[in-house]
Amino acid sequence: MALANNVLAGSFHYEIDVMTQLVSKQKNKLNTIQMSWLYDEKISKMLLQDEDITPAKRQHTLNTVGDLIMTDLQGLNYFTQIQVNGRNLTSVQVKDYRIELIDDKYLRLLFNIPLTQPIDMHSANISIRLADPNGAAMLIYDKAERITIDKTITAKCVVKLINHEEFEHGKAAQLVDIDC
Amino acid sequence: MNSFFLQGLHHPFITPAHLITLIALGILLGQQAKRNGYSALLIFIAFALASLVSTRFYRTDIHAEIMLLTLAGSIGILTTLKLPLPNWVTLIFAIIVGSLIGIDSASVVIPGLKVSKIHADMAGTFVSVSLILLLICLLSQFINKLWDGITLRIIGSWVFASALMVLALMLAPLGYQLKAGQSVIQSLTENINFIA
Repeated sequence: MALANNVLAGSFHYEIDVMTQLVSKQKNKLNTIQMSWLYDEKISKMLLQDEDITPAKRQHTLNTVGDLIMTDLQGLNYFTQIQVNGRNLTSVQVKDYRIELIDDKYLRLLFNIPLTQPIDMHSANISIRLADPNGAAMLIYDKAERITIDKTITAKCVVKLINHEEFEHGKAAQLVDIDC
Repeated sequence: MNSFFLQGLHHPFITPAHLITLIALGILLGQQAKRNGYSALLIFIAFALASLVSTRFYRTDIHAEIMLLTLAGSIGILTTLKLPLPNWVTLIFAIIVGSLIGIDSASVVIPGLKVSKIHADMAGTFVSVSLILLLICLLSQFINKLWDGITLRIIGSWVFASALMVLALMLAPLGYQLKAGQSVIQSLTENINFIA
């Protein structure tokens, strides 16, 4: 993929390497969807450009960047569309999040998307689509194993990762289909 | 902040459609009477700024680069023909080019990117496009005095050719060919949608 360096360029894209865990606090109930987003080097550098990341200020700067990202993402529904048995889940504000800088190069954002009510995982079909409506971010699961399910969910679930070879600007490149 | 401003300054140089159109408009303005050229330049600056600022509130999906290249080609022809143009024609070109360049320079929405950085980038772009147009206009006014303006007319034909080449490359990203039973217009529309 051709990557431009200028934020004004029309064809600007960046990658986010995604991992997801379905978190259960009660047996066979899904309570939270935990996300781990690893930003590519270019966008990490851009977000931290001109920011003070000296050891003394590092955590404060990262927290500020994290707060800004989460505030902006809230308006974009966290780039996440979740459907349970074909019905869209309503978004809830994410309050539990943290951000870290790995190898001084990559930003990693970890956050929990709470569900308004627990989902019974027996006979549930969950689909997850991740897309930036502006088409700049490409959110990608490297493989189906990047989606994990808590052991407390004993229902047998099959996780399928479907790659769309062609997709419209601002639409998801992949579909995660979890069939229990 | 400075690095974002510098990135903005760099922007027209990595967007061929913008650079070609600025050159086209600059040589056209340089060919006109000084007063007309400068008033069109000021109009360009005002509209570029207004449309750039408007992208913070409203975004449109128009194919600005294709429109700019088409304009650049038309302006190139007009410069080559060296027709006596009324002042309003150059003003209209300045308005359209300024607006389209501003609209097409909209910043990408990146969650977490500080607004001040986006503004620095936009300011860099604005300064860059304004200075490029001013410099080309001044240079063209000087060149226009040499050899009865022949050099400027030749540059106009090059601009026309360059705009056509970039347009052809944009419309044929994966090898442009007509499908059976498809009209040229249908095929072009399909390609434009693909680019968008």
